[in-house]
Amino acid sequence: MASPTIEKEIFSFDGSTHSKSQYTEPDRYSSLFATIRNAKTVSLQGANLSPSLSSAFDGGLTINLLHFNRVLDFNAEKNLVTVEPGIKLGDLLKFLSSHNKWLSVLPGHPNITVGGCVGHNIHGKGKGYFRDIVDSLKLFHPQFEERNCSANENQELFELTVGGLGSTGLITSVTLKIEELKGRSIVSEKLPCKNLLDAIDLLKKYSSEKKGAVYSWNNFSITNEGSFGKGYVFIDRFDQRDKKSDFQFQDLTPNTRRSARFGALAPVLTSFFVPVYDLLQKFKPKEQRLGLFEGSFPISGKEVYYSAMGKKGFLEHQVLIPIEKAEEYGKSIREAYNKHKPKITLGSLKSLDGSPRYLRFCKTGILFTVNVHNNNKALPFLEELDQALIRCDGIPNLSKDSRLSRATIQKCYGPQFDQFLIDLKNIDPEFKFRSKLLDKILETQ
Amino acid sequence: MSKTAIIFGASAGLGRALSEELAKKGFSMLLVARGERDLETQCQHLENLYGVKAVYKSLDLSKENDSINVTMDFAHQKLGSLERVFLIAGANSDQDELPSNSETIDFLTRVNGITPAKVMDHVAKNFEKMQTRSVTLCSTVAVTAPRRRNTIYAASKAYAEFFAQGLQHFFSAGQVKVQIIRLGYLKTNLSFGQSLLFPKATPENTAKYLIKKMDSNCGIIYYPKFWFLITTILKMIPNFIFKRMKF
Repeated sequence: MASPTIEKEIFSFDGSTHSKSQYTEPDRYSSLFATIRNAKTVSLQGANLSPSLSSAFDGGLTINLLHFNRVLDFNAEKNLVTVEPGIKLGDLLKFLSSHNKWLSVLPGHPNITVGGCVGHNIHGKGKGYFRDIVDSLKLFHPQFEERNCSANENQELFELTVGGLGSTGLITSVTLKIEELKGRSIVSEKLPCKNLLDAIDLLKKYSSEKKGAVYSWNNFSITNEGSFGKGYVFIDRFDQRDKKSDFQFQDLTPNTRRSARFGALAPVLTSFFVPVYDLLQKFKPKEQRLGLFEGSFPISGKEVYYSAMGKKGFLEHQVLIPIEKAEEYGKSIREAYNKHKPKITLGSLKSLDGSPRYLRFCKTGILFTVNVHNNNKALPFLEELDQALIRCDGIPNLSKDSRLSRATIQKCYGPQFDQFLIDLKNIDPEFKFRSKLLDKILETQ
Repeated sequence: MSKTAIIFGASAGLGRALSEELAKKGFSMLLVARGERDLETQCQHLENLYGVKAVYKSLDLSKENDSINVTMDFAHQKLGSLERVFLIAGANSDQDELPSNSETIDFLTRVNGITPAKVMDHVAKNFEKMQTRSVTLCSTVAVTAPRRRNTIYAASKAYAEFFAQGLQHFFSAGQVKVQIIRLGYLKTNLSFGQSLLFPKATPENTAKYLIKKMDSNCGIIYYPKFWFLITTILKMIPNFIFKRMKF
């Protein structure tokens, strides 16, 4: 029997898009499979923390998977854990840490589900993408029922599913490669950087040493060329000393973000984000020892960052730029900032390695993340960055940037974009699994 | 003494939450419901997370057969004892509105009334061998005010309640504690999307309450407790007014 549905307005996490959809939360497999079989098209939803709307589309049916959140198998010797897709990273890490195990690739918030990490091929604070730690998965589609997928079995379907934005079917289980926990706390070392170039040099240097996760916070709201992008590079590494972590985390959803009562204060509050963070860092010691959980998810407990953006929300621009073009791209951010003066609330860099495949956000280069408050200056600023992105041969993160046009995506991903559509059509000519984000990609199909 | 339990209706909602809470307390258990995959998955989860023994038996409680005795014996054999018996399973139907039909009456009466009665009868016969210490029957506040909708559901739950009261009398020396818990609205798929007059209790909190009460001789109790007040007021309404109320 299909699961009961209600009509619901579903928002993207950044607050910029929404859909009126039917919505359901099946709690058993029989109703989950029946709901998918009975529906013409469906969207799958985990924590719904993707800034792009990947879990709903107008007039569609959204199936929430949070009831499917169990640990199915744990093999400490082989370093493998098998879970249902709806399990939250925070809950999984609590379990793994109790067995002295850990995941080497983690996204920003503990509420994010494993299914979401696979579908969006998230990247970690350090090097690596989620694809690197997915050993295998099971995929359900009414056309072929359930299939095992891995690098050795149904390989094409596997590659299409990891980073496939939920287009290939319902992931019923995922087997992840886990690793020994290297310590009982995380030490975060902070190195000041004078400007963007300095930050890139430090990132390259410390990332290649592989001592831990390396990332930076950069001030992109500076007009002066010499100090544009100044900030801090952080190097997080495990430490043997114990520091208690309670693995408690807040429920974060687009609705909890939108329902915070900051309203009219949002434009003022967002102006203070960068100077306040900068000031706080000046008072913090060069080295901080944090619990495993707090060190892995620095934003956890500071969700006010998102809710202070108000109902209008924010826009996130995240791109991977080849190392040799990173300086040029940074210059473009500065020029666009000087021209439009948007309210930049976050600037950050990382160094990542990987090979592109389909629409997976995966490439060797420098990762730029820019968050802006969603006001009338944001769009012209970001559109200018899109042009710079194309010039610099970069790729955008479709999961993070809700306002990207199909043309920009196609130009950046090139032949991989077309191959994604061809291969997806081969396995599912009807495109049963949809979303507002996927519809943008599939629009001419 | 070993901690063992059987849960009827363990695949989702309250039954699943109860299995999790019992596992946290170190109970080995047998899970019974219709959905084999849900049960298998839940058993794997409980074993991995809490290191307890969890086995399952897939059973359609609406079918007329002698599988209840077989299931109870299977549980006893697998777990070595059967200290706690939880009757969580329940079913309702869109067709449960008078006048109804015989299929709906058969289905709802079996799941909500006859099956729990058979389980309780088995306990009455075998409690010493199974080392049973408690039986918990989850009933509904709907039994307090018969109305034109959900009549069969409430009537069959009332049947099970009456049987449980008989069992309480049978165990008046206190050998086995029998609790009847009248539940109000629960946040499960049965109430999904319904805007109800009173708040829904979460399965997790309800499961914790059932465990807290499993050693008590409480007769009939309400959860959440405010339902006692609501049902008392409902019962005080004169019949000539009550029968004109449409709810």
